[in-house]
Amino acid sequence: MNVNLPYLAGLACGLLVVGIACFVVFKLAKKITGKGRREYDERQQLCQGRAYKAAYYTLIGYLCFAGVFDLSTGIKWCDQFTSLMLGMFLSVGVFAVMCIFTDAYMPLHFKPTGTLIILTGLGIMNIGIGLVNHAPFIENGILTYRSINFLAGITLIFVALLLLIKILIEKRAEQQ
Amino acid sequence: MKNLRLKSARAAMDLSQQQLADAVGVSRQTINAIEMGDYNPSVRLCIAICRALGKTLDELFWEA
Repeated sequence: MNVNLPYLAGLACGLLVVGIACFVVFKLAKKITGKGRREYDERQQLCQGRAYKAAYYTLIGYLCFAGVFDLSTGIKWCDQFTSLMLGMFLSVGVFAVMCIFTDAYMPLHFKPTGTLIILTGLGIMNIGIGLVNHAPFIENGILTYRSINFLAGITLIFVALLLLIKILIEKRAEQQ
Repeated sequence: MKNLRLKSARAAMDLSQQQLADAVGVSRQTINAIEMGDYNPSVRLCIAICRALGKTLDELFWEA
C-alpha cells in the first residue's frame, strides 16, 4: 500500500492546528462569558440528560437511515465523511435546541451575550472558510467534504439565533 | 401541580424569582418551574428554599 507521507504529515499538522485553535477559543470563551466553573443546577442537568439522550437517538436514527438508504437505493448523494459530519451536526443541533428551550444551555451566572458573540463569530468564520475556497460543494451530483465548513457555520448561526430568541422571550417573561 | 404556597411565601418576603434563585443557587427558570409544578425539586433543594424563605418543608412542599 502506497502511503503518501507528505499528505499524512500535512493532515496531522492541520489537525494539530485545529486542536490548538479550539483550545485557544475555549480559553477565550471562558474569559468572555464568565469566570469560574460552568455550573448547572439540578433541573438543568436533568434537562441536559434528556437532551443528550435525544441527540444520541437522533444520531443512531440518522446513521441507520443513511445506511439503509445507501444499501437499498444505491444513490450516492454525498461522500462518506460528509454523511457522518451531517449526522453529527444534526445530533448536536437537537441537543442545542432542547437545551436552549428548557433553559439548560447557559450555566448559572454566565452572560449569554458572550456565548452569542462566540457562536455567531464561529458560524461566520466557518461559512467564510467554506466559501473562500471557491471550490464547488457538489461534484458529479455528490455533496463533497468541501461543504462541511459551510454547513457547520449554518448550524452555529442557527443555534445562535435560537439562543437570541430565547433570551428575548426570557427578558419579556422577566418584565411580566 | 402548581406550588402556590411557594409563590405566596416568596411574595410575602417581597422576593423576585431571580432573587430567590440567587439565594438558593439555582436559575430563575428552575424556581419558575417549581412554582408552575413543572419540576419536582430534590429534598436538598427543597430544604435550601425553605431556609431562604424561613418556612418548613411541610408548609411549602407537603401535599395536603
